[in-house]
Amino acid sequence: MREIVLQTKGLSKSYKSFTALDGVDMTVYSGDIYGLIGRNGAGKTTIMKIVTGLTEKSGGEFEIFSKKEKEAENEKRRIGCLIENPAFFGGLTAYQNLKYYAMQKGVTDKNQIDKALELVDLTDVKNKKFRKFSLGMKQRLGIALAVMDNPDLMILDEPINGLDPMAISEIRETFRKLSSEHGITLIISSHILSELHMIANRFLFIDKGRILKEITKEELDLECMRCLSIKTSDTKRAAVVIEENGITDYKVIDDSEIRIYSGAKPEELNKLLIKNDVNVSGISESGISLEDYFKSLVGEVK
Amino acid sequence: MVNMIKADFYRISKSMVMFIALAFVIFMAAVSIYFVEPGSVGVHYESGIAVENELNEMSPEELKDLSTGEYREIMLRTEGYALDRDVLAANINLYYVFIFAAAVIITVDFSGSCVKNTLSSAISRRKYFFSKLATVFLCCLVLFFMNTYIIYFGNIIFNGDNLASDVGTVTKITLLQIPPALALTSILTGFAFILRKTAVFNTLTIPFMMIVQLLMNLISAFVKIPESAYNYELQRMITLLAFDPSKEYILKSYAVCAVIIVLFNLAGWLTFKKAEIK
Repeated sequence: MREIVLQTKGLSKSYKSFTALDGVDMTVYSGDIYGLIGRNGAGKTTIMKIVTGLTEKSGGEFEIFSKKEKEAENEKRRIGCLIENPAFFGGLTAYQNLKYYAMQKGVTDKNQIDKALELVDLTDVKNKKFRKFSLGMKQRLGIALAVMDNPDLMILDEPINGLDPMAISEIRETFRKLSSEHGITLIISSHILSELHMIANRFLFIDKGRILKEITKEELDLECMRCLSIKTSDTKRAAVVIEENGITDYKVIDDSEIRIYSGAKPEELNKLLIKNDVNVSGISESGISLEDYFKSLVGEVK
Repeated sequence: MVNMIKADFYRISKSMVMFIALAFVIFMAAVSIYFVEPGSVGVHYESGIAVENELNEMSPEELKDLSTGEYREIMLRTEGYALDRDVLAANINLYYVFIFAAAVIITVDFSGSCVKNTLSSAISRRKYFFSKLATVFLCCLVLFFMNTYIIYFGNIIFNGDNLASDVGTVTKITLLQIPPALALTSILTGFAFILRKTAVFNTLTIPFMMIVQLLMNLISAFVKIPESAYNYELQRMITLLAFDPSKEYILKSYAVCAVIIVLFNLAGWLTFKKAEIK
């Protein structure tokens, strides 16, 4: 069984009458690239701020590296973070900023600073003052800080904000490399689903502080795949009929829906089911984009 | 914690702010040395030394007509006047220098949101708080001692031995003044952790000493405050500790300082402990 890096149970956060998080349960396993998906203000940053100690929870509990809250404070050095906007001292250069944080963390090998800068392609501008950086450069320096100390867990809040397409592609590759070659677990939040879909292996959909769904990439692909959706009151009988006719690529969604992912024709399937005394109330073609999938999840909650 | 302190000193060394603070110390010392009297910034200072020279015999008109050069000549001839001791008695001025230290070490970290980089992946809030406190204290004490010796040696170089105490005396005065200096610093660290934004911090702390004096004057207009109570106000304390205080006064004034140090830092810690880091 894989090691659990982060687990929350009923995590809640309220600001006076506003509920920012409402009973969030999530589990991140070692080696995961875990995507937090939600609109602005959904609660993604709040989860990150609670687990990194930047704000206090109102309820629930969490464990990092199997250590509970206060004990987990000693595990902070195993975490690299970029939360909200990258914040550095404007009067210091990129190198000086990283050196300052390296000194705080007790990093003695100064090569790690150069390696981190090289990883995000900032070596050429390492002596440039942070205040003169573009938004994309600032974002990359934030990622360099998060990765500098060789963390076991990286928590990145909207890390691709402000990056151009080339830089996004490079950063995506960097994240993949960090995960596969260095074994770093990544939690990445974004509201750009397609981007997260390209790198994450597990997803948490969140809206208005509440979890909509925690799902693996395979499950998500399956949910979004083009299919025939059959509405029937007898899914068991329908499944038997479908299988007897050589269709194996199907999934029983619930008591009233079966989805078929092979290229079956709806009119033939309808005839077949009726012939076998299966009551069909509707057949439709479906298959949705990630955005539509998210919209449908939000709609379900509403 | 040591790593945090080292990192902060590294950052300070790369910023101009502490050099500006040091320049401010040198400027204040230079003004006092040149005009042969303690300067004061914002808060009124009353010299603890009764000077006996020709100036006492001059009429207000004659004093008004006196040029700076003539005034300097008279003061330089004055016997028994220790300018360095008188300037050290006005060390309340350093409160304004300490504001630089508290701002650059604490509030700048919050204003730029850089604090979240530290708290999210380096150390706990408790360690952060105490290391920042230690850094501000260290910085202020360094400035405090530098101020003493700049005044002492500057006075000897520019005004000669006549107006100077011995190095042992000025060192003793500075050591005696450490608790009120730390109390002043604690007022600032307390406010820094409560307010956490440089602009708000400066707006409140710059006039704070004047506000305290104003409030005391206001209260005394309605309630009779015993004269001895004024001796335990920080400005007066710094002055009195420069003029051979009694053991009893030292103990009582240090107790007041201890209360101020604990109260302000406790308020700062309790606010910071629960604060949302933005």
